[in-house]
Amino acid sequence: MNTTTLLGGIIFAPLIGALVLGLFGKRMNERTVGLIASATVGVSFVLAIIAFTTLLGVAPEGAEGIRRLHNPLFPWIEVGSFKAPFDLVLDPLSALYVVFVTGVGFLIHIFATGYMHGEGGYYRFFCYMNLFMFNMLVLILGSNMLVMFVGWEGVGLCSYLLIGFYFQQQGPAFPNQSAKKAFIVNRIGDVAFAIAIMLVFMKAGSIEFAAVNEWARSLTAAEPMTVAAFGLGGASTIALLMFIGATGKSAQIPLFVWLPDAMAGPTPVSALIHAATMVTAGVYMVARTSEVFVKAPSAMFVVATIGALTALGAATIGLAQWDIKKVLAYSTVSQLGYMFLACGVGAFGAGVFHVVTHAFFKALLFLGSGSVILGMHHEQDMRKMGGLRKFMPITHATMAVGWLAICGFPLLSGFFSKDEILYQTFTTNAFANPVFGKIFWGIGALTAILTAVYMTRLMVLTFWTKERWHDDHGHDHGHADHADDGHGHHGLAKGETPHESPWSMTLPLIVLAIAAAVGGYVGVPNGLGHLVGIENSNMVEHFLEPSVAHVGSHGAVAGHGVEAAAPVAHDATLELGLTAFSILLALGGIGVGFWIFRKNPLLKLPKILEDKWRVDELYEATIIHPIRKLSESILWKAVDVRSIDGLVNAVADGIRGLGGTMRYLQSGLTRSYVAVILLGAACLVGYFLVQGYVK
Amino acid sequence: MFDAITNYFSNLTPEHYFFFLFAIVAIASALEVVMQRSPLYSAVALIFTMAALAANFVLLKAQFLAAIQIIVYAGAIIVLFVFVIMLLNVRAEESRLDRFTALRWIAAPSAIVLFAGAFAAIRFSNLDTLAPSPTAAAAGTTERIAEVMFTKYLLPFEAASVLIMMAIVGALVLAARAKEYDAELSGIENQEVPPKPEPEAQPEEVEVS
Amino acid sequence: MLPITNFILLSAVIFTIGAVGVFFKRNIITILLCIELMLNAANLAFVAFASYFGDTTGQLFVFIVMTVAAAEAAVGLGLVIAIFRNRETLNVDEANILKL
Repeated sequence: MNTTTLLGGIIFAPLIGALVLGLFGKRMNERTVGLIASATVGVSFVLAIIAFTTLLGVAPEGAEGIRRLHNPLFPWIEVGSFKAPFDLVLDPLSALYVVFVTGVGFLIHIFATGYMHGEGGYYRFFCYMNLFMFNMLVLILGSNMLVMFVGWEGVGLCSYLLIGFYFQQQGPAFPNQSAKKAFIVNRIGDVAFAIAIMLVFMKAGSIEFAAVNEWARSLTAAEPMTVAAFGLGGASTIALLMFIGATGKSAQIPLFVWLPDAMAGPTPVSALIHAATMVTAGVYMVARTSEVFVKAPSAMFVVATIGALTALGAATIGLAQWDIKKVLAYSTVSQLGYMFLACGVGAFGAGVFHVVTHAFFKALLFLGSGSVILGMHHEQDMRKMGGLRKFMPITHATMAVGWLAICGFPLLSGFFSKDEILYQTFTTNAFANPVFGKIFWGIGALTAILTAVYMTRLMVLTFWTKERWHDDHGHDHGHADHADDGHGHHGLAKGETPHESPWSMTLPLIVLAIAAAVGGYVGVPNGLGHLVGIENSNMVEHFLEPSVAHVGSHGAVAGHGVEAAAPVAHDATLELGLTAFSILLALGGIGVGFWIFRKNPLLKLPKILEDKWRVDELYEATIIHPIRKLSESILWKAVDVRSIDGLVNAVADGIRGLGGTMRYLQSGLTRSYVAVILLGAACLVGYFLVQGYVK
Repeated sequence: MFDAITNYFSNLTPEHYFFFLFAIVAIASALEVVMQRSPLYSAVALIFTMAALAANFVLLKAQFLAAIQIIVYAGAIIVLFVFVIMLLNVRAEESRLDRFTALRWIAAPSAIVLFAGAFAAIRFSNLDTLAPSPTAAAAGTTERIAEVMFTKYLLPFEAASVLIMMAIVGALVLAARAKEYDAELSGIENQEVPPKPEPEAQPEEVEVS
Repeated sequence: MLPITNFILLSAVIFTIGAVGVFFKRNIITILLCIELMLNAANLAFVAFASYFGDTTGQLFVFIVMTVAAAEAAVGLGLVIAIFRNRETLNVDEANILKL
């Protein structure tokens, strides 16, 4: 076992930053606050890189050949056989996560120093941001499920605090409401996750990830792929519960409704928490416990189905939104669906690879939108943009890179990861019937087209068509949707023009654009690699291989003990064919987008899409309203007011009545009380005297 | 008779002399506490009682408690009393005691009964035969007290510290909120009570005085 | 050494003086002082028994009693101040608002 103290440094640097800013930030100027916040995350990033390179040098351990670095911090909870030490562990999976989280986090912190300039609560913002980084890193590095849960809840808290950053605004659709919504929806998933932890301890006898995966590997056969498997209380139940936890955090159907509303927070928050890092925690958790999932094909099927449906559903909603951040939010939900689709078909490595590339291009797109919003004086409605290319050249160029990357334009990062997912989905044999894989692939391909279309629409509306920011058209979209970013004033005044953002914002954009462009080359799919003569070109998945489970499609490594997962011969022709098809999809989607929106940027799409399939209304009608009614009519009016209050009042009335009678004993004269006490004392002494005498 | 008295005095050890000396001081100053009209003089007289009792503690080989008696009682508690007396600038107690004379007829006999009872209890018991313990000196050392306090009686000790804590808070609340109550009382006298939003949820007026 | 009765009798005398004081005095501060007197009388009895039995427990009781006395003095004097501010008197007979 290799131990190190680096990991503690990685998590505690942002914590120190958060503490310093929280305690003393109020007296610091913006420069100092920004410097502390960025520097602590920067320290984490440097330490993460060092830890990463150290990890490459250590010897693989155990039968699985996983490289691990341990950093025991302190024993935390020890009750009987239950042990939950606060230990950190770095293995390939967490190493990859730590590096991109700290890297992207560092860039976003720098961006935020410019974006948040002049905002009230500047130090508060960065205190929460640093606290978020700490919690996210605890989530990633925790060696057992309980430590992960601490980070899991911590990022939820920071998410809540940051969504509600502009809490002074009042109204039904304003930040504090969105924050509460995010928090409550996440609670639903968290409960499932907590139950999963208990169940894991019951079954595996430990909650250390290494031991849990070991336990799952030791199961001789996968559970049957039936609905009844969820009732067995074994791997399927655990996997399903953990996935429910993941749907909350990673905004999947049915718990995705909080993420679009979470855009009420400042844009760097949307970029860091609600696009790049926190929302991918669900994927991370599934990948972390992938051995459990491969033993639970029915849970895998649920994961893949939910992932595919979320990807498609969110993409259709994204097609019709007017708020630039809402489009990106639904795009995030959709891409998260992709990641879960990958996990569901057993391609955990591909899912994690997409997490990384997505973090780059989605952070880039969000930061770009932040730059646009700032340039437009807090206008988020795309109908009021247009023609920004001339005024914001750097933002335009970098966002264009992000746009092409997310569309899957050849040789950019999104292309490789998305192509890998689609290929793995097509060829999966995680399910007994290979038709499922083909269906999922079809949904994924459709989503890919839609993605290209709505992202093209976003770019067209924002940057290319004629300038509309002084147009006065009806606010038929409702006021709340584009007043979310929290300023009394928004939009450009007459005669003003948009302006390019300062270097502190454009620099991270440029860096992220480079990452989004070339970040994919660490994971060039094997088929393409062979084409240009590189063996094992898919470095990311090879790196991850020991620490995540494999099932089905990946030819190089056989699945672990899954009956259905016999190795499939690597079919280069098929893979190249699918790659070509993906390129067609991306280019076709972009072309369609241009063709439709170039001429008619303000094209109205079906109302149901603009209304987000009315999911919020459905939840309101089926869940929230009945609960509210139940609480009001039964719990409040019957149970609380009648029973509990009635009981309390009855007791109080009884005592008041008793007191009313008893008070006739009280003369109110202090001295008479003393006399009585004295008399009583004398009686007591007399009693003991008599007692003694009798004896 | 006379022989008995001379016998008695010839048997006296220095301990006896000291005991009687301090007992007389204690009783005299205790009487003074009760008989003085000015509370300030009472407080000063109480210091003498404390000191005399501390001396008795030394006779009983409780050296540590004797020191604590002086430091805590005479040094802290009585000083607190004196502070308050001076803060309030109390006039000397009026001499009239006529308002509840009837009580005197209950109190005096009960006090006499009380003392008589205690006296009888002491006399009838065979406490006289109780021999002084040889380990008395060891029982009163700081070390021994600390040992017992922090092992066997740790919980009462902690409870006492909580009690002190509550007393501090209580004293603060009582002393500090007096002004607010003043304002509240005068406000209620001068103006109408504002209409309550819910008639059944009327807060009860709580008064300390 | 002295018989223990000497100390116990002294304790009883002081206790009775204190009790009578509590009863007859009308000044609240003096009443509090008399209560201290009674507590001290009890303390003396405790120490005497502790010494004659050679047991530290009695002395520990004295310790606790002192703590209680300190707390009582603090709260009692706080009450005195509150009463004085409200009613401009220290006469217990005038603090009779609670009566019917």
